Amino acid sequence: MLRGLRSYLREARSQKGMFLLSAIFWIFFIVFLIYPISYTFYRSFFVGGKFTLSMYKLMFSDSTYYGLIINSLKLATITTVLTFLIGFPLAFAMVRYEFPLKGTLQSLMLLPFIVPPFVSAIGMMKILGTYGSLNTLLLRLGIIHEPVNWLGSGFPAIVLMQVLHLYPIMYLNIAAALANIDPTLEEAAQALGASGLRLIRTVVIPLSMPGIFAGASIVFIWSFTDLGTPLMFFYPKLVSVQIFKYSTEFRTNVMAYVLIVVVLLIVTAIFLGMKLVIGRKSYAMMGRGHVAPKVRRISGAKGWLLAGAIVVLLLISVLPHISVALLAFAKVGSWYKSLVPTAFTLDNFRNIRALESTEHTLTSIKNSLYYSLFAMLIDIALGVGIAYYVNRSRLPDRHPIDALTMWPLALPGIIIAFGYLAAFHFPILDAWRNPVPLLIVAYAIRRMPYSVRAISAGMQQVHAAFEEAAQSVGAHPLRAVKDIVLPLIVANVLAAGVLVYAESMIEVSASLILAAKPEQFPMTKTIYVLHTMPQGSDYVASAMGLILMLVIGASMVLSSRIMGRRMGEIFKV
Amino acid sequence: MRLRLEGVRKFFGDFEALKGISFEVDHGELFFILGPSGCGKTTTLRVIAGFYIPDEGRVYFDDRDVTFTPPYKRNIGMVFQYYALWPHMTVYDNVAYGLKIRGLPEREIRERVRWALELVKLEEHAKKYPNQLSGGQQQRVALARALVVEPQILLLDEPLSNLDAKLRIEMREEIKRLQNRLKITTVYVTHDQMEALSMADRIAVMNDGLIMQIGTPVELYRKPRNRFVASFIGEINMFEGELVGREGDFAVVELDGNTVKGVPTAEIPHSRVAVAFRPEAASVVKEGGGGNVLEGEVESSMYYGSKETVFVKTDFGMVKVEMFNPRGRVARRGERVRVVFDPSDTIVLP
Ligand SMILES: Nc1ncnc2c1ncn2[C@@H]1O[C@H](COP(=O)(O)OP(=O)(O)OP(=O)(O)O)[C@@H](O)[C@H]1O
Ligand SMILES: [Mg+2]
Repeated sequence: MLRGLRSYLREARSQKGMFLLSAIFWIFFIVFLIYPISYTFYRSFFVGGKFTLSMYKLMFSDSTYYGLIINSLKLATITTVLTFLIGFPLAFAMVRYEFPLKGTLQSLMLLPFIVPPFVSAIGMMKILGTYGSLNTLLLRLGIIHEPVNWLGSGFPAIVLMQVLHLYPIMYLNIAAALANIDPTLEEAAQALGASGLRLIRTVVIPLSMPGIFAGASIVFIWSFTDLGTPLMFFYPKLVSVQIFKYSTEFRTNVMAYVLIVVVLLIVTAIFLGMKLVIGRKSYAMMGRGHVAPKVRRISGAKGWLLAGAIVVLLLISVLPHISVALLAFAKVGSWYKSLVPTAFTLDNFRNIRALESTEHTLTSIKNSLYYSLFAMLIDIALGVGIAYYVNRSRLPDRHPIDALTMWPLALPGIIIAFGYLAAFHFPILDAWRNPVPLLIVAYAIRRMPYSVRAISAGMQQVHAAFEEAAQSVGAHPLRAVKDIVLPLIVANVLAAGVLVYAESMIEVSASLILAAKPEQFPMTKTIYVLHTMPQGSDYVASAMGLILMLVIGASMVLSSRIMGRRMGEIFKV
Repeated sequence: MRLRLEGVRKFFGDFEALKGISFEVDHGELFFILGPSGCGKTTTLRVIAGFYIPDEGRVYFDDRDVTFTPPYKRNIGMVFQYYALWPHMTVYDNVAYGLKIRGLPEREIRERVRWALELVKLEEHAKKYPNQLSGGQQQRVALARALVVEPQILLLDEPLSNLDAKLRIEMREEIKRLQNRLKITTVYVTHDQMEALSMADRIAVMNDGLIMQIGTPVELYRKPRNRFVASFIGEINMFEGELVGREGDFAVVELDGNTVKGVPTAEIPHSRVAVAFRPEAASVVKEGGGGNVLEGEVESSMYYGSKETVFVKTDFGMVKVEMFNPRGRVARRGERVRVVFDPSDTIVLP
């Protein structure tokens, strides 16, 4: 024990730089992660300085409160099941079969995941609305005689938007698991007489459990805590929306804190449960990564049918995006009781400027560009620092730091944002007076796991001996990092930067909750505000949405160019 | 530059990788650290380089205590097992890097890089990237990179272990030649005993975090001071026996009814001893023979042209005998023979 401590001190002495890095990380994590979350907990248990569980009792006894949680769980469950029903066959087809257009389709698979439903919801409404494209089409065809309210209460629409957005994540995780299954296990089952659906049910699904769990937990958490989509459909009966509403009364409303704690506990339980299952299951897998799955060729009509089905799926998923693009160029009011807009114009883009005086639309574009830039810089610094630390340090806090870095994967944006709003009332960090620094940090924290992963992937290729060789010929450790490590990971740093930039541009939860004054709004909040205004503003909102989509599309293309095949890795658990 | 380690201990968590290492390397000496995998060779080298700070003990360069000096201030040259050439730099830039760090003028850098590349015969490859070179060439670049900064101490960690057998032998001579020419204090880590025996001025044999013996190749081969060194270096026949007396410089040992004589190489604290002799120090005869004699039956015999290898089964175990330049087959399977070996070629170990 004493020896351990002494050797730790020696180690810290021989790695002074690491010691310093670790101190910086800890300060950052304590201030921006641990403190606000703890503060939220504290507020939910202490009313007027006294410990009480009364608010929890109230929550669990009043259906207006627990009903929100149940409804959100219902949403998340339905979305998860549906994404699985799409994602599993899709992954199975992609991993096990060879068919026409497979390569192209595979590379397009992430497409629906790129733009969040927050933006494309506007487009969806134009398609499924009472006077939208679908009803117009069906009326014209004489299939229906009265317009149908497809959007219903908004709930089905939210499910639809979430499923269309999230199934690629499910697909990605399951495909990775399927690719790792030792084909001999299946052959063994076949030899015992199992085939078809039975083989899938008894062998393939159990063996791909790690991937299914990973995908399902991401999808579930995402859906459960999604704020943007329900807001766009004006659907209030979800816990995320309620927390958003409470964010203006965070000083007095204790129920907000209680809801957040409950959400956080649910999300954490799911995340940890998933980690546990994956950890246990993957031991059961033989020859992980060393075996090539057997690929069967489906040719002729059957093959084209399969390809066609996937094309249709992709088309449906990007339909809302296309609709947004159309709307962006549509003359105000021209998409009404028609299949597509009847008149096109560039006015919507001009109106971004014209609305500036009242809605700060143009400013919000500038804001988003700036905020994202700073978030990107923070994440690059953190990404390089943490990736370096986790891969190189011999100090014992490597694992806790790694775990803290990945924590935001299981930390919904609404919780981070609300935590910041409630916890920071200090002279330099005051969420009420000037939310901008906190908004930037929130963006950075939320995307930090991706950044660290992307850069870590590069760091792992840089053997420690590269640096040591530089030190041995006289380079100071920092100089060695600059001359040897950085040039070798520059591609990963670029990819991480581009990714963080784009992801920050489209961030919704923190943007909606933290940004209070119109002149500080980022684009997403402006789009939301425009959307809540009378008809017509949606057209300008779509124009801004299209700009966002273009920025994101471009940066995704750029970063996957840089990262190549490893791109998908970043989005897995 | 002289190098001295004094009582160096190093822990990794609770695991003690170095359990008190002391040795001294003379100026210009080619010093080897030889030992089985995991015995702590690399750890020792990294302590010398400054990548590890020992938990106890000291490291001196001449009389300067460098125990806490960081690697970049030690003026060492190091060749890594996998060379660690920087993939984004050309051969020239790899070699020039240490000089650029030192802020030398461009002209001098050019001259010294050329000198170093000539030294390892790679002048024509200056513009290539490491992945365009063969293993042997990469190895030479690593050597040039380490030598160009005129280090006071050169450290090599299994530099040849990634080369094929033929190249390895070529590079042995090359490194030996360079070291001789530059007269640079060198510590060379290997687990290949042939490499150590053929190149070293002196060798430290390590096992399990301890140094078992330090000596010249001849000393280690002819006069190992313990059973580990005796059996780790070269092949040896070794049997348990009981010390029964002394005869001048010789110890007399009772081996299951046979009495043999041998030279003790270390203090012998108790009467349980081991008697050992090399296969090539013994010969097999049908009858007669002087010195030490053991009787047995031929188990197998193989003829290789340059030598004949005979395994003889005795009462206390198998004896291997190698006879060089055989004029004909000496022994046949099943024959009763006598293994004879000189007492002065026989060692007695505690
Ligand atoms: N950073 C480390 N952390 C924990 N244990 C270590 C570390 N480095 C080495 N060890 C342990 O210390 C012992 C000595 O390691 P070392 O690398 O010095 O062996 P070696 O003699 O160079 O072996 P090899 O011939 O295989 O290279 C080994 O048991 C190894 O597992
Ligand atoms: Mg080693």
